[in-house]
Amino acid sequence: MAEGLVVENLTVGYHWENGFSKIINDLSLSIEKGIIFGIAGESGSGKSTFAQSIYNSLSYPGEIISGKVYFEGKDLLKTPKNELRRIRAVDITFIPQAAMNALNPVKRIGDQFNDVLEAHGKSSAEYEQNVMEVLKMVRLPPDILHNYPHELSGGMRQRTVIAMALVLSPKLVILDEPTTGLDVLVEHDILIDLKKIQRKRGFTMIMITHDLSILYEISDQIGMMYAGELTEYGEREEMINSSAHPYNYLLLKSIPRIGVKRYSGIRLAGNPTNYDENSKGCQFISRCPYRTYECELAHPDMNIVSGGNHHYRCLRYPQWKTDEK
Amino acid sequence: MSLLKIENLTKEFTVRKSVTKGHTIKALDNVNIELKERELLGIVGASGSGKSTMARLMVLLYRPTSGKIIFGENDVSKYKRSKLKNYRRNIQMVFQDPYASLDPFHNVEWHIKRPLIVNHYKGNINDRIAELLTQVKLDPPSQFLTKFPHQISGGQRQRVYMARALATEPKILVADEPVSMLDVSLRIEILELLLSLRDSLGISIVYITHDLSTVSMITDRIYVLNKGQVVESGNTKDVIENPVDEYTRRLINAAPDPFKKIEVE
Repeated sequence: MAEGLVVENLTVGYHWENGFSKIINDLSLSIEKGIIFGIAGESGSGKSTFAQSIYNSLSYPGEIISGKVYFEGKDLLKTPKNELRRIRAVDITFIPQAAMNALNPVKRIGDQFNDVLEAHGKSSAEYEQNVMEVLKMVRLPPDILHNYPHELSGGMRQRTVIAMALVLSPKLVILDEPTTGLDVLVEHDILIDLKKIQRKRGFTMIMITHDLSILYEISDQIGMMYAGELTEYGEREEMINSSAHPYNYLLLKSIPRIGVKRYSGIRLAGNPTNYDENSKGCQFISRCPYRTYECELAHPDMNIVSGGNHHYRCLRYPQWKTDEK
Repeated sequence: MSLLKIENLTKEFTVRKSVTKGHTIKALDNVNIELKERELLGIVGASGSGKSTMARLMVLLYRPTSGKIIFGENDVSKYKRSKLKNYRRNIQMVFQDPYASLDPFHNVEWHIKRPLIVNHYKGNINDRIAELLTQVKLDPPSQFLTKFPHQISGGQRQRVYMARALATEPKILVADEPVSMLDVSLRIEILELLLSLRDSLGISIVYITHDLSTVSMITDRIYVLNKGQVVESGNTKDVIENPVDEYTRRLINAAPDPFKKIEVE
């Protein structure tokens, strides 16, 4: 199994007026090559900070304290600025949240494609074929190269940004909330197209979103983030059918679904992520209905469900499953 | 018995290219909607279907181009001044973005006090504020009164806004995408709050959204809007189980569901 990206002991935080607070705490993860890895988390869980950190684009007041991010044997966090500039968009690309609003409003789409190519020393004539190909992939007509961003709809702008990110055939694509703010029908189409493109080109894709439903629809493997840690990760089927962590289990239960009766058992408390730096125990404890005294005493380590790739961070697995009524 | 009746409602917007040139866009085209007492009604559609225009028309933030909005027995669509104020007391709206709908310079207490003062509330205002906060399950109220919007979560903000809307004792609450900006775990609580408000206060609620899965969870009846026209309506369960219209089918198919996997060849 080849790795697309390896993250080791990543710790990231932000400087505030009252000091420094950790947002990502000692996170390790290895992502296989050529799959779609989805990362889910609620607001404040640190998922966007994680995306910026692995792309090494986090700027002050954010700071990466320690850790390594290996991509093709290179530690991205130690790579000098000018080399990072060279490999970005060529080998690894990041589509941040609301990227569709970052298109230059006074430049035609075609010229903006040229900007990307020129920044990497490629001539636009040589890469015309590539541009046409990616546009076809995201199902945009070639005419849009002559349009300005304001002439396109939100969905088309999002497709444009995706096409732009793919034009130099990167091997790793990181997407942060790629469909947030789009209409349901458009969202559904873009997800299908993204998966088709990923399968066709075979790049590794990391998708980050708060929307658990779309994440489970598209991903091969899924990681759940809570208070700056991964609480659980593994194959989609295992995650959905046999959750090892109460967080994932209860979140899945709380999603309204068409034609499914409302779940009336134990519920996830709705207070948002609360990261307690001084806590010795489990970060999820304040919202966990299955907690016992032991959860307060020790911080759970990452464990593996026997015979698989299913990781979880819970002291009470599998006992908590029998608590469920 | 019907509480609010929309009859042959059309709303046109003028898009101007210059001072003399321009054309009109029909946002709503001859729409008929009926809201019954104590009903949770869903209005569903993708963006551009006219569902938010519908919400704004219901509370008369827009005026219809033609057609009637009948509340009780009267056509309210041309109401002005005191009559309008009186109508708005009966119908309140909750907006999509709880981060934008509360004033960042004022605390929770101020937000709920305002409608009470404006409407000359007779009783003890502080008791009423506490009562409203309890109704939206912000308990204990004293803990929230002095909080500013940035100190509470998105779900709590939406609750504060709902308390504010309920302050005038409305008969109808129009909620335009009230949960789309919230986290999954907070979403379900707001939806359940809508259900419990309907049951405990006996109000009617119009729930407007693009997300069919939440609609199927709470509403009694739905109208599906496409390009300003009602393409399908009826009992929620019937419509979702046996959609007749192609557009409704597409919406159902696109509704996010973690147990559905996108398969590509």
